[in-house]
Amino acid sequence: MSTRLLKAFSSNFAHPSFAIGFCVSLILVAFALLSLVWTPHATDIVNVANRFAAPSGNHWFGTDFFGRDILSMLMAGALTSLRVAVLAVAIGMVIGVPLGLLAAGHGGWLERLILRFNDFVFAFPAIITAIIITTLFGPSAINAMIAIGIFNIPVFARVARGGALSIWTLDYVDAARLSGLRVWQISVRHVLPNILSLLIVQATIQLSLGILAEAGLSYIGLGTQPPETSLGLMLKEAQSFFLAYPMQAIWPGVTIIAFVMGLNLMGDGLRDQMDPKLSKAGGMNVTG
Amino acid sequence: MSLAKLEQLTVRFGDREVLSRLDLEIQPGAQVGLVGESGSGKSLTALTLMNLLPERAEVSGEIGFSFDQRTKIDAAQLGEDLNFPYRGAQIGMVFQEPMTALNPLMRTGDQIGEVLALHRPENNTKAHIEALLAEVDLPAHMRTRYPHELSGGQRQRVGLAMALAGEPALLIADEPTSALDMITQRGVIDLIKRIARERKMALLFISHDLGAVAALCDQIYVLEKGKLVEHGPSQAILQSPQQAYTKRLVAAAKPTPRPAFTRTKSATPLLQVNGLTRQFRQRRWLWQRPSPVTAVDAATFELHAGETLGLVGPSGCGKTSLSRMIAGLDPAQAGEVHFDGHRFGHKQGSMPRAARREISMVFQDPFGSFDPRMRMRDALFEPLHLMPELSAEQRQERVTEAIERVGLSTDMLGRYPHAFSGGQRQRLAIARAMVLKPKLMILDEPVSALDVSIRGDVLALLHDLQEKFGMAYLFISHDLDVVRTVTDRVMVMNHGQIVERGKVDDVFDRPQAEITKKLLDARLTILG
Repeated sequence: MSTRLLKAFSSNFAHPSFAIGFCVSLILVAFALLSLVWTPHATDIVNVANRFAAPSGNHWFGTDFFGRDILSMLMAGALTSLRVAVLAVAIGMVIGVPLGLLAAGHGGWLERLILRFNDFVFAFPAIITAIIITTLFGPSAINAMIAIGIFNIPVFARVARGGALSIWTLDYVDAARLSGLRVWQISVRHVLPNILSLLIVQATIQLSLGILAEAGLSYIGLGTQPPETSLGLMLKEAQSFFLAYPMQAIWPGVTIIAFVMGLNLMGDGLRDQMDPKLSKAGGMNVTG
Repeated sequence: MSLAKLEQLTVRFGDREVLSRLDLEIQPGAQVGLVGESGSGKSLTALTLMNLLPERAEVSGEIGFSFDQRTKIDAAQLGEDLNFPYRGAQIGMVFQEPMTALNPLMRTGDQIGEVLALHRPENNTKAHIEALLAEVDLPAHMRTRYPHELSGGQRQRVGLAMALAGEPALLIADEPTSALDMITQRGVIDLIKRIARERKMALLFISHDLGAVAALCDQIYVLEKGKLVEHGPSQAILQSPQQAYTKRLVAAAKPTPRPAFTRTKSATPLLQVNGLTRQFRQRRWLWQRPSPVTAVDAATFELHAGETLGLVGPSGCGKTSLSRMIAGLDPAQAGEVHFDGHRFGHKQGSMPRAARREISMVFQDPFGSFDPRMRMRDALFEPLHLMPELSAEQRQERVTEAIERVGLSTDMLGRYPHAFSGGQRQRLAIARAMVLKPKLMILDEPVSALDVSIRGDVLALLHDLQEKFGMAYLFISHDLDVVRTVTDRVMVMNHGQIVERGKVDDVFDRPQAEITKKLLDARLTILG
């Protein structure tokens, strides 16, 4: 199994956008994870005397309004953004994929019910859901995560159902039905492994959307709250000083862009590799 | 002087040689057949003549044409950069897949017009397009139809009209009838034959079906794994093949005498089907009541233990729908099935779990019937879900026995499906169906997707298994020769109804129903 994965992975590196996207994402994730154990400076110590310090050997990217080290803030902020996006994708997959599989496998009224529920959830952008949750429970990173997660549910349910429908028409599914397997067993044994690549591609794209959504929610004050930090929150705090100290906003902005683009490029690359219809070099079947 | 000539043509992809040192010659007005199994390099030969080889192909050898004047082309120069005016003009081509060979967004007349505009602009008139359609036996109003409005046979005729539009001296037909059912196939082959004669056009007909080639061609080239095995006049090749490979192909294409059956028939039928009906509801417009389309109309028949019942009919006649209802895969809208003491159907609901283990099925496509992400071992153990009473050792024994019965060994089972050939997969599919030792096996075109030379092996295997275990077979096929070889009784279906039934020899020798006569007439035997 591991050699197969490795093979698939190495062949992906021939694809330039995948290679670039993967490297950028990997660096940013490593950078975020590093903040768990080490940052150049503590992010919760305020040193107003040293505010708006210019970049120097001690503070590579300078300091902010409270004299906190911007590099350390970026690392911690990237971690918050990543954590929110990853858990939101997890929420979406854990609830959405089974719903999609159930809809495709069961059909009939249950499928219609799930599809209408999907449409209903899909009609609310993450921001509306976040506002509702914030009104009820107050703003926090966890609530942002739940809001984005709810937004992800119908996305994954649709992708899973679409993929599963095409698998359900195949002979090996009929063979499994003849073997007496029940709908959920077929969904887990045969359908899920065969739509996994679709789901992985979608997860990469939802991850980048999640980072963007977290930044947006924190920026309007519905997400992460101080003294925690996130990339969106850093943008919000830098806004007041933008004319005097533009670098305060540019650093978190660039990090968000790099993150989102890296993940998108990686997702597109993966999709190209996995969808034979899109790959140009796809082995022509001419030896007939 | 030959019209087209290939000399020492070699094509390789990387270090894989797919055609080696092929010599082939087509005289003006001659009908040449190119026969071989999948992967033998037949299509590559056609693509070389059309200068349509994929870019990664490394080619060597020489190609000669003498249309208006003699030309010689160094095969290594083939490619888009080469000045190659013959494609679509002096050389026309008909492709295998009528679904994808036409542009779905263009009316058929416009597609024919496109070829005319490129190669015979003076002929690009409505009258000429209609004349071309008439030549391929299509009415003039087909000009304004889109491809999805045509049947497979009609699409293939349009493809032929497009190939003829450039007034080619050489027509290449690459498996033009393989995707069609028997009756349509016969029609298209007769049409190509007539047109080639009338136009005095040379034909290169590529097929895996020796019968089709025998019906059309006066010369046959036999390819095996990229090498020319044998060539010569059709009669000589078919009547006294010299090489072992050709002998095998010829033997496989001839109907073999039926082995004698030694089984005794039981008194009570194993399977009794009463008035089984399947309908699909279709709605044309939102406000209309959905009107039912009947796929199977009140099918009634019996099948005894140890018997083989054939089910034949043109494509879309409801053979597969009927078998899926019996296997419990699809619900019935009316009627019932009595099977081995169990009852199910419209009123009784779906198949009881206890009956499941007594019915299994082998599908047509050996490539689609295994989960590509599941090891063979797991796929073969899957049916044993139905026998929870078996211990782990007994399960292992069952699988080992099934594998050995089909002539494979258990040490291949760690592989994934892609590592097996088509013939091996079909054996494995039979093994999977055997694991439960069912009383009834439904075989849905079990050999149609296989190369001719391995069909015989698979049929012999099925026969042996029946002798040993006394299973009943419901054998679905459109290939009448195969049906005659393996079945005791036969039923003929058309438009969802069983129109004729009886002992296989009676039905085939003295057909009553119109469709049976048509099916029998459409047969292409290499003896005729």
